[in-house]
Amino acid sequence: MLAVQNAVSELGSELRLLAGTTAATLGRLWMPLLGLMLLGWSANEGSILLAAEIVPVWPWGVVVVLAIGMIAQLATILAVLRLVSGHLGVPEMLATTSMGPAGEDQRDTGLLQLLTVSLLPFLAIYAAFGFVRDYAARVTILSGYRRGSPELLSALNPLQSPTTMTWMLVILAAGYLFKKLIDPWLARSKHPLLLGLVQVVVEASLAFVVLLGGFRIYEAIDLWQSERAFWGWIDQAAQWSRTLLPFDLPAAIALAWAVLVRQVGPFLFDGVGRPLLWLAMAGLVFGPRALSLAELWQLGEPAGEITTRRERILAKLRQDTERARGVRLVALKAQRFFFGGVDATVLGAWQSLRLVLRAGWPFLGAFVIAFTVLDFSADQLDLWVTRLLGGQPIRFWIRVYPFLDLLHLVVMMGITWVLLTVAYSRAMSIFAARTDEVEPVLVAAAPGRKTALRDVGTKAITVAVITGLVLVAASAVPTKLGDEINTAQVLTSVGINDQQVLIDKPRVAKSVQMYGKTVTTAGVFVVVPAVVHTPGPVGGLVSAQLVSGQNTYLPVDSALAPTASPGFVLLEEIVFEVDPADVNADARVRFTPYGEDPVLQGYREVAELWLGLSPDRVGDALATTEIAASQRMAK
Amino acid sequence: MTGQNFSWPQRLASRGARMLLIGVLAALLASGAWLYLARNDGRRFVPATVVAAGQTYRLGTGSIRLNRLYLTEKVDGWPPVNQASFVTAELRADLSGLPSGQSCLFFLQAGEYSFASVPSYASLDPPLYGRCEPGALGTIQVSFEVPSRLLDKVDGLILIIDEPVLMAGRIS
Repeated sequence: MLAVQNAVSELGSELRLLAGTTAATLGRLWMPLLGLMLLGWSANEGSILLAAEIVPVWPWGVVVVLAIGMIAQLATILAVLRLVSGHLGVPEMLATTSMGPAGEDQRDTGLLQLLTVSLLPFLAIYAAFGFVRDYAARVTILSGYRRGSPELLSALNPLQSPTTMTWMLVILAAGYLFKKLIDPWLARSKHPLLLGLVQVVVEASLAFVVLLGGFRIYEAIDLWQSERAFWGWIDQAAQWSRTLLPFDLPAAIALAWAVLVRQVGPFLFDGVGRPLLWLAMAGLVFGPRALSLAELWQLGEPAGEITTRRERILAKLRQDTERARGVRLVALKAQRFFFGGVDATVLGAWQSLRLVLRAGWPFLGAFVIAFTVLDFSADQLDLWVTRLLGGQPIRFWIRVYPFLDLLHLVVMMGITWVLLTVAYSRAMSIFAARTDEVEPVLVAAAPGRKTALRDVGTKAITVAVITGLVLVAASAVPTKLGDEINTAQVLTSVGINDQQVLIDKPRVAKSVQMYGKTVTTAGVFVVVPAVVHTPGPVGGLVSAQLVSGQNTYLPVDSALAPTASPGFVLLEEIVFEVDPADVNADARVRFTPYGEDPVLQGYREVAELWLGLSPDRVGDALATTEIAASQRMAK
Repeated sequence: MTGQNFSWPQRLASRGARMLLIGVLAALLASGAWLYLARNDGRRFVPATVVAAGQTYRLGTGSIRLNRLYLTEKVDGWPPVNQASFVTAELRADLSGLPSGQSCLFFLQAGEYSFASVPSYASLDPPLYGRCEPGALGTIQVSFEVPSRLLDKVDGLILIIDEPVLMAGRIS
């Protein structure tokens, strides 16, 4: 019990430290932080806007514009991380580590140096979080909406024409070679910073080339291989395995996989993995000094002597490389040439993540909780602002999207970056506190006590349970918004964005007379007289569905309901073929406007008009009813 | 490690107000550009070219001109619906410059409203077809059903071949 109390106390202490330091830092540095985040936002939105405008003129130019915009935004984020770490005193703490010349790091001397060294791994992880994909998607949507056709995607589709395919492959190959050849140039160049920035622009451009068009090559290959006979053999093997076992093994594997991939996996990744990856990403700006701090703690003496298993393996690999001759030497050099870039991206982040994971359970739990609360708040803020603005047509959401994005990118992400820097600084302070050489910059009020081995497990379980409860609570709150539903009874006009709808009392019948024919049913027909009015210049398709309980019915004659063109009113009787069990008080007609764009929708107004039905209407149903012809009038 | 190696973050922190001002100005610029480029969002057509009333629009080696806009009581024997009127556009067309397979779309513009042509329209001598038959020469007549309250707002005909062209005109 004491171990549990200690764990809770330490968790609370870490949480207070993270929250308090984040708040204090924001209070102290809000001006430069806000300025930097606004600069980043401007670069982001400006590049999207420019890219959408140049699509009709030069689609390939979009790649460079987006790359530069994203790099500019990432640069401001890196500046924020470095600014906050400087305020916390982290560079001074790291300066006292005894790495000597091996610890010299260009990140320390200037913003441009920081960019050229840190931007590549940062870009890779940023892309892994889907930000680059979202960036490209916004340009695609905006250019499609304003230009009326998906010119960007078709222009960059390598499957569209041999010319595009050729250009795509040439650009990807040239970019890859450039990445490999630039390192020796950097070393010899008189302008290493400029060349470094060019390198980053090339990397970012390649990422967008892949996202906007290159993925189709992968899709085509994937489609081709999925049609091979090999998969048919797999199916046959699965069928045969069913005959061997008393249970359906393939179905069991599929079910287990579905649970793992669709429920457990996303929960663990989103709840735990994502915050830790973000934290590892923030740590990339601190460079090898941070890692040396972890080594210092682990070894208890200056880094450089080989005492751990990992260092023994590295030393052996180094020896093997030095002794390699002939074909082995060529193979090693080729391996380094083609895969050496992995060092700069994945390994750097991996080392950063390993450092974070060794900082202790209370710290990890406190950080995940703090990040989750922040993330949850960001989602809820977005939700509530959207609700406040109400259902609107798509042109409204296209216009305000950058300003909604400002709330997220500037306010919430600004706070998140500060929290990440504070957390990483705290992780390094934890290591510093375990050495005699380095003075930690962030110290918890209730410092962690030396814990007996048997209590380590108790501490871990306590922290994991509390953190898990917070994650479950956060995930239980809805974060998705449907449509704004306006409800009314019969003979009450309701607005749905640019249009108005109204229904009259419905009729229930066993058969209907329409287009000169009698149509019968095993269920019943519900005939709803409806009026749609488009008073303004914008109007579009309106769909109608009858909803009752879990069931939804489309009109029998068409998938579309009455649609009035601008300035006109349309009266039409909509016929639904319905299960008699769904003729009850819950039955209503939902009118959904598609507006000016049938593909793009935002948070829109939808009408649900109660039909006022009851189960006894089935027994009293008309034998037959004639469907009146539709009528139009101007208004 | 001396402080001067970290001077740029310190400079950034000490010039917070200036940094904020720069950020705000950049944001205002980006916002202004965004709102300006969004000014036509929601409009069905944004004409790339405006042809003054009575002027001829060149179509390659051919041309097209809006002769007049006038009210019609019936189209194909049918009157307009309640509180609406038919507006007919008469165009003089030389479609010799039109590429093979090219077609035309006509819309009537009345302020922010635009109206599609009614499904059938008659043509005078020599007859032309809805596809703007390449090589043809003659008169096209296109009719539109318009709410009567918008008649005084009619300001021309939108012709769409590659991009929207507004041929200005008023109902005579």
